[in-house]
Amino acid sequence: MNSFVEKFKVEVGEYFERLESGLLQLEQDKENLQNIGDIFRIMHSMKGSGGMFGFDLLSDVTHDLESLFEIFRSGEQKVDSEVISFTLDSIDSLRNLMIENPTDEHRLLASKLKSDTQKLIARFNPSNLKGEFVKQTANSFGTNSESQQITYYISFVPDEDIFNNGTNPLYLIDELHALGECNVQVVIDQLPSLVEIDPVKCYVSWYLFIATTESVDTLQDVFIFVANCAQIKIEKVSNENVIHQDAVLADFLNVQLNHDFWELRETVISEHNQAHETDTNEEKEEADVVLNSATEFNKTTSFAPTVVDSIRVDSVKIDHYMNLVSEIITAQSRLEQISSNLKNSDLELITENFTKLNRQLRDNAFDMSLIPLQSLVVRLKRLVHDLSKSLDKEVILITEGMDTELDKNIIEKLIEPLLHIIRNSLDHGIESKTERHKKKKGEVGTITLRASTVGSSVQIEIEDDGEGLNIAKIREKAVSNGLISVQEKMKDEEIYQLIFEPGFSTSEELTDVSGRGVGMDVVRRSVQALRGSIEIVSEKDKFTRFIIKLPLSLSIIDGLLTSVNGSYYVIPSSIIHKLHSVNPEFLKKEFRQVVELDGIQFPFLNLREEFDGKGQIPDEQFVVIVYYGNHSFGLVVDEVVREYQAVIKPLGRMFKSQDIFSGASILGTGQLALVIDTNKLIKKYT
Amino acid sequence: MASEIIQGLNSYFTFRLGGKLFAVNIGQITKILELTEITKVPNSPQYFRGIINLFGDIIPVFDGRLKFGFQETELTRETCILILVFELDGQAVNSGIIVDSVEKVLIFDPEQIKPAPTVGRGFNAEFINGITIYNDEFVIILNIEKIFSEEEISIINVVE
Repeated sequence: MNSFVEKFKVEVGEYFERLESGLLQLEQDKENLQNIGDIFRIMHSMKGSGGMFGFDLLSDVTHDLESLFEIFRSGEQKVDSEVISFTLDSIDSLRNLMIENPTDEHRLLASKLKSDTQKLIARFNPSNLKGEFVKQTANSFGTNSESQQITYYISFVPDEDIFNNGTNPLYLIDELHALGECNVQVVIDQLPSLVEIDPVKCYVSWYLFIATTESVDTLQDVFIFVANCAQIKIEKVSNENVIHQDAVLADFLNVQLNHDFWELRETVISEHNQAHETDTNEEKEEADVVLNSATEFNKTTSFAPTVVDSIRVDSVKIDHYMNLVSEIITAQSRLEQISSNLKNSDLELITENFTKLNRQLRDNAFDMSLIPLQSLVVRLKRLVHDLSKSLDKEVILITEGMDTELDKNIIEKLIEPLLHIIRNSLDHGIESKTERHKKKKGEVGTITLRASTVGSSVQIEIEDDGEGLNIAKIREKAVSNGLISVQEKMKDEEIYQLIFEPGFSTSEELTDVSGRGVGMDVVRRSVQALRGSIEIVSEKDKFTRFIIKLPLSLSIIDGLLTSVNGSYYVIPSSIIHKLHSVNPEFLKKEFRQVVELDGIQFPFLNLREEFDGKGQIPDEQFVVIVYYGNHSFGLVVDEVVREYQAVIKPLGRMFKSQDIFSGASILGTGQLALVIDTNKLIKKYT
Repeated sequence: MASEIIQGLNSYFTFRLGGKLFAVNIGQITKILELTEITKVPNSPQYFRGIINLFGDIIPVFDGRLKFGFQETELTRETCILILVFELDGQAVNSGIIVDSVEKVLIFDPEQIKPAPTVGRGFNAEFINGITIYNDEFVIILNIEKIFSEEEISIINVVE
C-alpha cells in the first residue's frame, strides 16, 4: 500500500505543477476556457485520487476549489487576478495538507482554505450563498429548481467478465438513483437459454434516463471503477427534466438507434421552453463537449497538446547507468592501449569497432541524463508573478530556448542561483511603475531568460530592462568595503563584476526580497561549484544582463592532461585561457611570483614547488593561464600531455582539509590523474 | 548501502602492525590487495598515502602504522592493503589501510572478548572494541568507524 501512496504523492506533485503552470498561463489569457477546463479537470482528478488514498483534507479543499472553477468554466463569469493568486496560494497550502495523519493545525488550515474559497464562490455567484453549493453545470443558473435539472441518457454495457472484478453493476444503478430521478431499462436480449448460462458472466446491459442537478463529471465518476470493463456512454438529452415526456425519450432513442446526432427538436419541447429557443446552437456545442469528455474519460489531461512518448525511470538507475558507461570508457582506453602494443590486426579491428560503439553509447547515455530547462520555468514564472504583485510592479517573464538540455543534477543546483538573480532583477533592476512612466519605458517590465547550447557548454542569460547598474554607487561601495582603492583605475566591465564579491550589496536598506547580506557572491559560488562561470553586463536605464556558462554534464569534462613531477593532473579546459612554454631558469629569477608573457604580467604558482616536488626540473616548463575570478593566473606544470576527456570520479573520504582536488580520473594505463579545482588551489596558495 | 556491511559474525580477520596483532570483524573486509601503485595526493598528511584505482573506483589509502602512531618501516613483500568498508555519517565508505602482514581468520565467541583496560599503560580504549587472547598473544579488535572518523590517532598509549 505504501508504494501506492508514494506513487500518489508523485502524481499529486505533478498535478500541482500542472495547475501552477495552467494558472500562470491563465493570468496571461484570462478568457481561455480550454485552459480553465484543464485546470478544472486536474482538480477533479486530484480530488478523486486524494480521496481514494485517504488524503481527505486534500480532496476536501480541492473539492471547493473545483467548485470555484466550475463557475468560470461556463464562461459566464470571468476569472480575475485575485482568483488566480488565491488559487496559487491555496496550492501552496495544499502541499502541506498532503499528509496521511493530519493534526488539528492542518484541519484548521483546511477549514480556513475552505471558508476562503466559499467566500470567493459567493462573490462570483451571489445567488447561491449556501455553503453546500457544489456542482452545477453551465446552464443551471436559473432560480427555478425544476429547470436546473438536466436530463442525460446513459448507456451502460458491461463486459461479460465484469464480475471477475467483484463489481456488482446493480450498485452503480443504485448510485445513479441517488443522484436523481431515473428511468431505467434493462436489455436482456443477450441472455442465453438457461442451460447455456455461465453464472460468472454478465449478459445484461442497461440504458437509462436520469434527470439530475449533478454535472456530467459526477455521472462519470459513478462508473470510474468499471471504465475499463464496460462501455459507458453519457449524453445530454435536454436541459430540462424531460423524464416524464415519453415522446422526447422515444425520439432520442430512435436517433440513437440510427446513429444520428441528437438534436433537440424544438417542436417537441417548444411548449415548455420558449426562452431557450435561441440557445439551440449553444446546446449543440455543449453536447459536443460532453461527448468529448466522455471519450477522454480515461486519459490524463495535459496542457501540452502533444503526446510525449516517454517512460519514467528512477534517477538512481540513470546515475548507475552513467557510472557503468564511464567504466566502459575507462576500460576501453585500456583496451586501446593494449591493442596498439600488441599490433594484432584482428584485435585492432575489433577495438576500433568497440571504440566507435562506446562513443555512441556515451553520447546516448549523456543524452538520457539531460533534461530540458523547461522544468524550471514554472517555478521562475511563479516567483515573478508573486513578487511583482507584492512589489506593485508589473513584470512579465519571457523565456527563450527552454528546450536546451542540461544534466539534471546541474538543473537542480541551478534553481537557487536563478531565483536569486530574478529576485534581484525584480527588486533592484526593474523600476517602479511611476519611475518607468517618467522614463517613458512602458509600465510593464520584462525579464528575459534565454538559453542556448554553445559547444559543450550551455549559456543562460537573464536580462531585465530595468535601470541598469549604477557604476558610481558600486565603486563607492567597493572602496568603502576595501575591495578596491580610491585611485584604482578600472574599466566599467570590471566594476560590474565587483558585485560578485563577498559581502557586497548596494541596496541602501535591506528589503525582505533581496539583499539580506548574502548576495551575488553566493550565486557566483554556486555557479562555480558547477564548474561554470558568471558575468554581468549592463547599460544605464536600458538593461542588466547576467550571463551564466555551464558545462553540459558534471561527470565528464574536457580537460588538459598535464604532468608535474611524474604525476598527472587534469585542468578543466573551460577555464584555460592560454598556454605558454617557458624556461624554468626564467621563472626562478622572479621573486615577485609574476611572469611576463606577451607583454602582460601574470601572477603564477609553480605546481612543482607547491606539490613538494623534488628531483630534476625539466629543461622546459609550461605556464597554463587560467581564469581566476576576473583575473588571469598562471599555473606552471612540467609537461602538457594532451587534451583529455576526463570521467571524473569522486575521491572518497581522505582527510578533512583536502579541497584542492575535485576528483580523479582513470587514465587508459590504469594510472590516476587528479582533477585540479583551480579556484581553490590558487586561493589556498596565494 | 550500509546494509552491505555484515555485522554480528564471530569471525575476525587478523593482521599485524608494528609487531602487534589486530583484528577487525570479517564483515568489514572487502578485499586484500598486494601493494599496488599508489597515486600521491600533494600536500597531504603523512599518514595518508594516496589513492588507488580499484576496478574503476577511487579508494583512499592510509598507512596503518603512521595512522595508529607507530614508526614508519620499510615496505616488504608481506605488506598488504586491506580494503575496509564501514559506515560514516550514514554512508558506506571504502578505505584502504596498509598493514605489515595479514594473518588468519579466527573465531572468537563474544564471551572471549574483554573490554579494553581503560587505565594504565596499554591501549587507547576509545578506538578498540575489545581485547582477546590467541596463542598467548593479545589480539586487539579495532573500532574501524571510530578510527576513521578521527584524523591521526594513537592506538597504544605509549608508543614503543
